[in-house]
Amino acid sequence: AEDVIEAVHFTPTQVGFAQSFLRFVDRVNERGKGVVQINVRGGPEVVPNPQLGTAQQSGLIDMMNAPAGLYLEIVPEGEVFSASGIKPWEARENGGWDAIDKIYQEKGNAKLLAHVDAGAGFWLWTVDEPKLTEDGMLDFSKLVIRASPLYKQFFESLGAQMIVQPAGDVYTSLERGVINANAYPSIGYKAFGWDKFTRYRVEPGFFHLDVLISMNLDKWNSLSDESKKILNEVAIEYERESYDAIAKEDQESRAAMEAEGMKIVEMTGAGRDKFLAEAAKASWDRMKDRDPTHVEELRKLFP
Amino acid sequence: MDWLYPFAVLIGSIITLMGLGLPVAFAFFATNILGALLYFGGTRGITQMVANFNDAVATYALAPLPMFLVMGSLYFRSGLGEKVIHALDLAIGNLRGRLSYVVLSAGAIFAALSGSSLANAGMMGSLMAPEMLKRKYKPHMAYGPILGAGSLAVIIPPSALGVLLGSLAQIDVGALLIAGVLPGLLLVSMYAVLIWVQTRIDPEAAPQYPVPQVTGREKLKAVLVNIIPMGFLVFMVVGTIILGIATPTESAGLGCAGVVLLLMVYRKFSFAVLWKSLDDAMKVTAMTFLIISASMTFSQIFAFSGASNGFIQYITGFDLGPHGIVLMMVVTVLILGMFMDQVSMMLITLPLFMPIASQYGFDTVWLGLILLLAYEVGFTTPPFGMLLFVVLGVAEPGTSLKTIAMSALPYVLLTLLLIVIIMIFPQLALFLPSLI
Amino acid sequence: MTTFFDIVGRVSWLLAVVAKLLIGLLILFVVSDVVARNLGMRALTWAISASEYSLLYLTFLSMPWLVRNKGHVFVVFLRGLLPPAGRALLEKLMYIACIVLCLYLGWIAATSLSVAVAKGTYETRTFDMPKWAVFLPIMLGFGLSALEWLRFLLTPVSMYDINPTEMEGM
Ligand code: NA
Ligand code: NA
Repeated sequence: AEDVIEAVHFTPTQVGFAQSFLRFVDRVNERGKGVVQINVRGGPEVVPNPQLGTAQQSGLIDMMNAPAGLYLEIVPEGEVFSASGIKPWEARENGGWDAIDKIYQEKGNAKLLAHVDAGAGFWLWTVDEPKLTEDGMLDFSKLVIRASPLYKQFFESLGAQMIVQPAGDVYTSLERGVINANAYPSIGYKAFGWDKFTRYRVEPGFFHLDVLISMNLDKWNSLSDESKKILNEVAIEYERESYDAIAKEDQESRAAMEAEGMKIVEMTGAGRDKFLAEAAKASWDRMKDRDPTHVEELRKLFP
Repeated sequence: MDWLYPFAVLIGSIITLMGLGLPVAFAFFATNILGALLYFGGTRGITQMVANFNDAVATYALAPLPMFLVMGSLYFRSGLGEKVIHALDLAIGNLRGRLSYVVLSAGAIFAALSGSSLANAGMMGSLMAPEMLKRKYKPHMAYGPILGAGSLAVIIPPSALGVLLGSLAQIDVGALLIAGVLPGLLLVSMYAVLIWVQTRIDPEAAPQYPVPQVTGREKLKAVLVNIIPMGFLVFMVVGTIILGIATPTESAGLGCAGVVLLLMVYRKFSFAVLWKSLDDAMKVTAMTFLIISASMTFSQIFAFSGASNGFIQYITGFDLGPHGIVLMMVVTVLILGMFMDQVSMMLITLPLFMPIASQYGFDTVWLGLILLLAYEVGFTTPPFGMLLFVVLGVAEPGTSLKTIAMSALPYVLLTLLLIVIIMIFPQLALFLPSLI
Repeated sequence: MTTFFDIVGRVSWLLAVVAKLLIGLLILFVVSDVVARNLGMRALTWAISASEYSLLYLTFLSMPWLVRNKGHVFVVFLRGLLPPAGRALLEKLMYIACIVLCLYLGWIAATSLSVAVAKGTYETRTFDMPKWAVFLPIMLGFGLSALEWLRFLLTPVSMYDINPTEMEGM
């Protein structure tokens, strides 16, 4: 019989990440006619973000499209996807993918299918023109940044002030000067209207998008070999395709804001290297704190 | 019509259980269990519901409610509130229903500075409702303006809900917020006319009581002595937002600190009063948050079962022309708004509405504002209306949800009238955005 | 039996006292965070997550006390259609329904709690919060509420006759 997979995505349907996932779904459904079909139930209106990890673990949903960062409490090692710049297909070649997939199977009862939308990362956006210190690092001491658990420790270690607040408050906070910087991918940044206030973008970016498509392991094991084959094929294809697509979108989103007068401030020399090293260190340190078992192995596979 | 079965089961269950007298939160709990067993993974869905409670209420965006309730309650219980109202009486003189106008205008000003309807209603309700009832205002003259002014907070910028709508629907957030200014002001005027009409029809709804005749000098003195502390409080709550000292969410905490300071200066502070205020705030907050935690899962099961998508597609599927389709969208939101919170509704409806909007070539700012007004109505429609619960919590013991909902009704009708006006005169919404 | 429900009431009251203190704490957290930030000191980022968990705790810890004091809002448009005898029966049925709901959801919370303890799971906000601590107030709230509903079932008190003086705290 035909395998049917119930799926949920992590952003509202109209947002780019969900659209990207729906393209993957279309591809599977087209190639899987009579064999395997993915039935998309919706986004955060169906399962709120904080519960995606457990919903998949328990089998409430069969498949999800969600960043590893959303359920680090289940699989702390998922942080490798944002910390490492290795491309998804390179990780498949060097054995990194199998290693992390094994960890997800053990800890999250999840089978990883693909690391999608990987070709972009986070940027720091500031209201005032930021100054550089002597070694070429940004002077973080004047920055008050809206914090997310993902990068809070990292910026704090560089001397910035962090404020945790709901997304709905950010617009008003930028308008009124409660915060004067923001860290976010370029994609979707304009949708929030934040670009009106943050007129500077800082180079280089940091972290990488860690969006995964994964399945409940029991459900995966119950699929026919033919279904598994189709899912794997499409996953490998789409991983690469979505990498290029999001890299292009990232490029275009930044260009659009620059065309409207956004300026770029670039870190240089030793300070720039230190910034990137600190970013990676923050992630690895946290991973080690939470569970050191696989950290050494992963460090080699996800440079 | 696959959607009709889950739709009927879920909505039918909630209405029946509630009508039989099960407390609102428990009616949602029971319906959720039924819904999970039928459509949402069985017992796994129920386990998920329990885990859901944490995500539903342990969120910083809800923190202002208990804090504003403490602030309002401290102000009222310490006797400071009474003095302010006395000063207002002296200053305004014998205008019938004056406290209703005061609530409305204070609420509108607060709406222009804060973005949270919940906070607005909680604060105005706990500050003003007890004094108004003491002066024998009929419930609808006291609760109506509080509910009306509360829901204004999302139309008059800043508005967290407006920002969310803008980003979810890919509408220019700045334009959408500015678009709310003129309609917001118009709505305030319509509400003021409503109060005037209500006092005309039934003068005893806001009874006159003797206000001592005083000289201009005494009037000035009363205003200075009693309104200035109010001004200090306003500064603590909204001045700190404007100056970038605090976020809208945090300013509620500063408001509490402000009242405590005031009470110390006026030598009215006592731990008994503080404790009583915490008690007031605890009762309203716990009741409201329990319902929020229960209703959130309801929205999810409703969406997961396919009931919401099917319903929306059915309603918007009629070919009724541009105005007809907008009306159907509004009707959809009004119906969903009886059972869902605003954020869930946005997440569910916008993916279906926005493609229709681009198909008809609607101006998204115009449509966004109309939808925002429609979502806002959901705050005050039973059985699930957050502002109704908050006001019920600060109302006199024994007040029924029906009384509160009936007080809101004329305000809801005026909001609907405003939607029609904006549909006919889009410039009302689009004039200000066109200037930027 | 009266003694039993008196003890239940004392425990409910005690949990509600904790809930009230949490509201006070919430205000302190928020104010100190703003003050610290504006004085140029380190913002107390942990305070935000602590505030959020206070909201969870205060909701469920005060739940039984609200049951006892008829603080949970209800409507009665169908109940009103029944004759008095029917209403009395319906009332008992409602109490039983509430008891069953509370026991069932409390039991689910207890199960989730024990799984969380066994697995050592936690939540990641600005600090890592053990999951069992998330389920604890939910379990307590539902469990004790079941007993408070039992009081309505077994003693003459009724949820539907609200006496204004009963709404006042102890
Ligand atoms: Na507002
Ligand atoms: Na409603």
